[in-house]
Amino acid sequence: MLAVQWKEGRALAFRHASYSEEKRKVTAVNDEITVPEGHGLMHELNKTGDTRVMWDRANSDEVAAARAQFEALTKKGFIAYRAEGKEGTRGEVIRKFDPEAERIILVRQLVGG
Amino acid sequence: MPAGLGELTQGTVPPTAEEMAAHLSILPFKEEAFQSWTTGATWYAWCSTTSTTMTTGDTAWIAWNNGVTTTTGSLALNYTTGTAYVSTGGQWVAWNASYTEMTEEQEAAFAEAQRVAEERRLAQEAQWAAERAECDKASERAEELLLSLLSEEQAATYREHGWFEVRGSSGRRWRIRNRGQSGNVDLMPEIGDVRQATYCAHPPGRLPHADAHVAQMLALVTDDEAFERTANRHYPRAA
Repeated sequence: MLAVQWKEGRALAFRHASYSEEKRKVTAVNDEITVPEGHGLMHELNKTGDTRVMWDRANSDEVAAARAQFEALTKKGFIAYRAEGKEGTRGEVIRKFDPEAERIILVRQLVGG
Repeated sequence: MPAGLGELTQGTVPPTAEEMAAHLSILPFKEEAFQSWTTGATWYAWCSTTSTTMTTGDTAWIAWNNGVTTTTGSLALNYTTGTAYVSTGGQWVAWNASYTEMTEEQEAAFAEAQRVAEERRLAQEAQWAAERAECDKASERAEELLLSLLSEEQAATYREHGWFEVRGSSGRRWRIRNRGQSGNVDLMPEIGDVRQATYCAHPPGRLPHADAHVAQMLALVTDDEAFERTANRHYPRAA
């Protein structure tokens, strides 16, 4: 696809498919995942979208189960990020399970494509 | 000779199997075989190989039939330039001799094989449909996760334009495009819309695209220099 960009009155033409303005249709209806007060939520990204584990900070069994899941995945090479609310841009890498985290996202390490 | 058979001209529909059988008085042959031979690729392949002038089925047909004399068990054809096919009618006999009628058992076995093949096809289609449905569900779930992490502005550009932008840990501006997960991360200038470079790095395991965008976003905001080291640069290509 030919994409033409204008810069300072001059046309810069690109013939580069990956720079096309084509976009995929977003079908998700929900754009919010609610985490109940006093709970934490862990997402393991996988083929199904993600597998979610929620824990009640006041429930030691749930915390222990979430911690075990966290440790099992990080041992497999998953990277864990803490994310807050709708501000994914404020994510940070965590090495240890933090039961106080609102959301934890675990994903395999990126590879160059 | 049936009426008109000898006067076929270019563009005339070839005679039917019955007409041919009556005309040639040769060993009986199955109509199906005749039809497939005259209407299928064999006919046209033969026409195009026998002579450069035999460009259509009709002309070849006429040439082949002209001067046909019928004798018991053999045919004399006067098509003179295509030596492989002349004089004996051997080609014709060979074509028809290779056709054998199926026995009832063979027909039953054939029908059974067709039934099994059809069952397999339906099962395969059902499996594909189920996989597609799972894939769609996974995509939707991944998009839900991504959108839950994006600010309103980011979500709006993702929905409307198919991309969103983030500030990397080094302060640089990155654009993640919703166009697959390979080569979809652009390094953008501080001002303007012309990318400076395009990178490719994504999580392994064939995740839904939106999941990959989450991973790319988190990698950029936490350590965009590590992302750059991991990723392959697609644009501009290294000299």
